[in-house]
Amino acid sequence: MIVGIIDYGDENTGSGNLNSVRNSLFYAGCETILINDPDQLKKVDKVILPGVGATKHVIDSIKKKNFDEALNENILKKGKPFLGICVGMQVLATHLTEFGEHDGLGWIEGKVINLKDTISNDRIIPHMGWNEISFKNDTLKLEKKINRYKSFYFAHSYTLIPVNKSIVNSTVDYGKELVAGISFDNIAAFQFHPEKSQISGELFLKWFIEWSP
Amino acid sequence: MYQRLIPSILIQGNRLVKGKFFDNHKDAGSPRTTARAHNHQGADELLVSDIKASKFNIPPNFEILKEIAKEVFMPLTFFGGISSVQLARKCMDIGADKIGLNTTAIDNPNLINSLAKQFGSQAVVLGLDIIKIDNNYFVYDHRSKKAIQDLEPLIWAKQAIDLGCGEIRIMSVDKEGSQNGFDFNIFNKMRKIANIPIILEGGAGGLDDLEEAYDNGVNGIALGSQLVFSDSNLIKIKKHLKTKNKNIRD
Repeated sequence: MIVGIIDYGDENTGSGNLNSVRNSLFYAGCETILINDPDQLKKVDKVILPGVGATKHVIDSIKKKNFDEALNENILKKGKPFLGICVGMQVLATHLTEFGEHDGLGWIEGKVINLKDTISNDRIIPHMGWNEISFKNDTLKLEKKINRYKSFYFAHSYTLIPVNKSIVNSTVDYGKELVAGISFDNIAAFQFHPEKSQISGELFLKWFIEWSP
Repeated sequence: MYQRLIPSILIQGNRLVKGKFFDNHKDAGSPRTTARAHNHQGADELLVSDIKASKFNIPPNFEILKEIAKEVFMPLTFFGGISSVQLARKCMDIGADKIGLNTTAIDNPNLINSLAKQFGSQAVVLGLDIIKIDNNYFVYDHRSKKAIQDLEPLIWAKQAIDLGCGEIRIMSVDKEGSQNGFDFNIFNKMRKIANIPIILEGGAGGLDDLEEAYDNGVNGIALGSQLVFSDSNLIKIKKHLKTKNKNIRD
């Protein structure tokens, strides 16, 4: 089984710390390739969309490199298991609001808004550090896998507000219940960074490697 | 939300070092094996500073950063002579999650903004070396080994936040390596003006200093000498803090 990690970066836009995603999947026991050409998506069994930085830069790079069509084809049509991480989850929404209003990939009806517009103003932003997630359901069988290791590393200033709340599989408390993870069909996406979450992250990635939606 | 325990390690050439009051650096072992130990003992994050790079105005030691990054599955912040977006990009590509700017931001404040736009605010940490002289706080320039007279720490921090930095790391220069306790006064002053996470470093000696840091609401508690030159380690520290009912991650 090969997991493809999408590298949409170019000389102007980084796509985040791809090596740590690769490195942690290697430790979790899986082969990966970096995908910088949308055509290569055909060759992999599962896909990870990592993301660091501003949603606008990430979605612009994805579109510029024509990853949007290839993702629609491989994930929505062919049904390859997909994992979005952090901004890699946020860009799935229909509406993005960082650095102006723009369209995301549109897989999730909803918008991504600044934390300051939804949580009380005595809270520090970014929401940065280790926080415990609470499961809303365990259709993914993820809770079963990670057991008591429910603390993950978060680092974000924006949060996803989906229209359909039933896709939310887990939340995190930061003065308010924020979305930690969403899932439907062959798509799962999480706000935290499993690749930075030590034992919890390792168990999480093992779950993703085994996951057959 | 957990407060973070963050080992802070200094790199000079290919070695780990530790000093006192920003001077007299002694060899303290291998960066790679030390980073590995911190990871296994459940450090919440890791700070790595290349003290040679900015001092001599040379690029950071990418090889060491790469080696360390392979060992740690937690966020890694890298400080040391990062004076351009290109250098920051290279550090991110080989394994840093956050870029720390100290004197390079003083020289070129707009660098904060450029990095925040490219990597997001969460990836830009302002390093503030602060020295207390006669009850006044000054920004300290480790290159000239002098307090900068015309840069007020709180005003500078506010400017950096406006430019897009997402976190502040305070290093109390007059406490570094002393192991005689944190300076919570400067932390509290900073807390009042900064609505972003603050890491406090300099002076951690005993377990009671760490308890106090928890009680003061310090977001990131950086540990230097305490982990290098004593028989203390994170497992012992976490165990102790748990018995004191501090909220500690499993």
